[in-house]
Amino acid sequence: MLDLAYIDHLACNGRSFLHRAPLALRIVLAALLVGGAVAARGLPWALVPPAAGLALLLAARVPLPSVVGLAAYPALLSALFAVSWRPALAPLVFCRAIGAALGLLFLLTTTPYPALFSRLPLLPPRAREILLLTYRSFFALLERCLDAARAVRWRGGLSWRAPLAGARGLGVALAGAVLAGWDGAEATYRAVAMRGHGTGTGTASGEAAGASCAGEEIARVSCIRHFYPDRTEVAICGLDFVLYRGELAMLLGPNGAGKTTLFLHLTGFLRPAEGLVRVFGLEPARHFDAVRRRMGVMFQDVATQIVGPTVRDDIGFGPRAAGWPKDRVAAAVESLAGRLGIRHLLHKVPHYLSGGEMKRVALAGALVMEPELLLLDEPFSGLDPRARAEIAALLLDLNRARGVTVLIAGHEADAFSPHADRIYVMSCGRIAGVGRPAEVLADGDLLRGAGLDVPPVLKLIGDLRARGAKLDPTCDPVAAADQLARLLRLPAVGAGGGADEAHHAPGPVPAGSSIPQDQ
Amino acid sequence: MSHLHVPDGILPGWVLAAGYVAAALLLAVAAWRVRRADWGRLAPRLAAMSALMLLAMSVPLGVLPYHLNLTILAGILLGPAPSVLAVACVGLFLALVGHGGITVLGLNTVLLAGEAALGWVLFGVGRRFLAPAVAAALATAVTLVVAAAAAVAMLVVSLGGSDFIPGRFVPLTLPLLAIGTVVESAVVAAVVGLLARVRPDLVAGGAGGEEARGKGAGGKADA
Repeated sequence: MLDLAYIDHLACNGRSFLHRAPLALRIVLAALLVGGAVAARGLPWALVPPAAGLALLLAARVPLPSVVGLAAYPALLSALFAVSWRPALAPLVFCRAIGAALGLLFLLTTTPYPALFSRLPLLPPRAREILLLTYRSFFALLERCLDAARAVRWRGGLSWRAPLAGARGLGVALAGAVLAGWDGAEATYRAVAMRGHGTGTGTASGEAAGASCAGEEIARVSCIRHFYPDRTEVAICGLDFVLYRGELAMLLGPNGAGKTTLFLHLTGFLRPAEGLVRVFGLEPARHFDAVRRRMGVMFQDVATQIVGPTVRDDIGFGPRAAGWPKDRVAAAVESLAGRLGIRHLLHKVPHYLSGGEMKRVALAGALVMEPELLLLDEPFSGLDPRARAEIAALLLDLNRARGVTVLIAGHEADAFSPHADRIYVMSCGRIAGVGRPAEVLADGDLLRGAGLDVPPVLKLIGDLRARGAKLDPTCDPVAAADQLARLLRLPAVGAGGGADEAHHAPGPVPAGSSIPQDQ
Repeated sequence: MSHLHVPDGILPGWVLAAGYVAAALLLAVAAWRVRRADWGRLAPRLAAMSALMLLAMSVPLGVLPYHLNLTILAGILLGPAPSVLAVACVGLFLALVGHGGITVLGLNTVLLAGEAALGWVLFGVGRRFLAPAVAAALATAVTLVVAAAAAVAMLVVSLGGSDFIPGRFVPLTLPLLAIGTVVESAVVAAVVGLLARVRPDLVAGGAGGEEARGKGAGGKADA
């Protein structure tokens, strides 16, 4: 098997002097080996490239068993051709072939693909983009393909005893990968488009730039209807969705409620068949670029929107597409990375990042253009409590300190919800309710009717109220604890006397609070 | 295995040069054909298909030193011009890991692009009369046989008069080609059959290709 993932691992994690050597030197060495192998006319000369290639691989600290494993396939191919030659020439043919292959393996085990493709001369920019996107897609597809193959095998679809049925099972697994790949490609397309790829440069149009005052309505969606290619109809009706400048709004709803469809309309990727969508006073699908320049978006699957070969390149993607000068791009990337605490990741290849790191990088990519409006599709999903708390604190800082309007879509009320200025509840393509967090989160019927979980704190308060306790509905653990403490006439908790800080991790709860969030 | 897993240092220089010239011409034509496409939309799709081909070519089928190609599937899903770009990309990745020599990259691009284009044409003809899965299976089988024959013929012609002995090479590879053709046809049929049911737009005569060629360009609202 051609283990590209392992080769990539060796290249990215190698610490030998050859890994640190200039890329040009590594390319020249590999070219010399390939050229020397192809040009060798006698066996003694033909032995030099394989020996040199092997020596370079070992000097690059590639383990010998790995060298043997990686060279096995080229060796097999070389042997196939060698035996088809006159016996006296077979060793020469074999040495030429394996020498060139070892030269290329040396290059790849010391140079990550992204670095290679981003620096190779003569490659047109679009070819570079395709190669880098292929590289990113390969690893995403590898995971999905393995998952699909395991599932098909588990269900009896991949059996070597019935080869044709096995081929059909393999086909089903691959079809799943094709669909996943296609969906991922469309998500990447959206992300790339939102970050300004292939669009004009400059600032927002005069029409779009006109409006900017506090409390101003900057987005409105009224009873829209959309048909997907398979004729599935999605209608978002009920109450109007309205977003005001400077507010932090949440859009809550179960899977299939229409949140993503609403997002795609707000970003201009979907044009409603009926109804009204306005962002900054414009129709996003028609004025895509004017709206895009003022909006940052973080999609649900952040892996699909990170397209740069390194974190630094990825964050700078939007500014480069907008034609910013190099030094301005570099300064913006450095400054933002410092603010988000990801400066140490700037040199990294994105697919080695953890989920939390990927979210931060995607957020940096969305923020680097200094948007007025930030749309985030499930930004907390798949994060551990610590990463969740860090991202939550970041978003609050952006909104409160920097005035960025933020819209967050999610499928459950959580510890972050009380910090919103306004919460919309969606159910079955309908905006079923809207209001301040205290109102919405206290409305158990509304949440249950929409198929959402009622937050545990709220359940507790509701239960106690049903038993006659005079408590105000809230899902904020700190506020609930204060009320309970007053009711039970407990003394106030002093600084340092509270519970373990680790219990506060799930949400941006003020430091020093003593109420565990997982009650 | 219709593309050439020929290592470096085997084929004569004039053949390799001719391969590069032909590949450059093909790539130029393909790039010209997609010049009006919405690149932001086409690029991720090209990359997704390239990645899938790369994945398929990375995994041998059990104990057989044979792997799937999926070039015909690329032709069906992307259309001929984008699939030329995709196979060139895959070829470069593979050549860098010794899966066929770097000097043979041009020839491989020509062969794989020919495969994708022929598969696309045959599938388009076949699906007028047959179910998508059957049309895909037939298109794959016929294309692979033609492409394999072309590859072997090219080897024999280019190495004619040298010390290469075709009588040894062909019997070694023929059984693999036969088994591989059957397996790949079955797999492509299964993929296309399933896609035709769940995403008919993807196999409607190369719908992705039509978009890529510009009919859907600028159609952000259709995403």
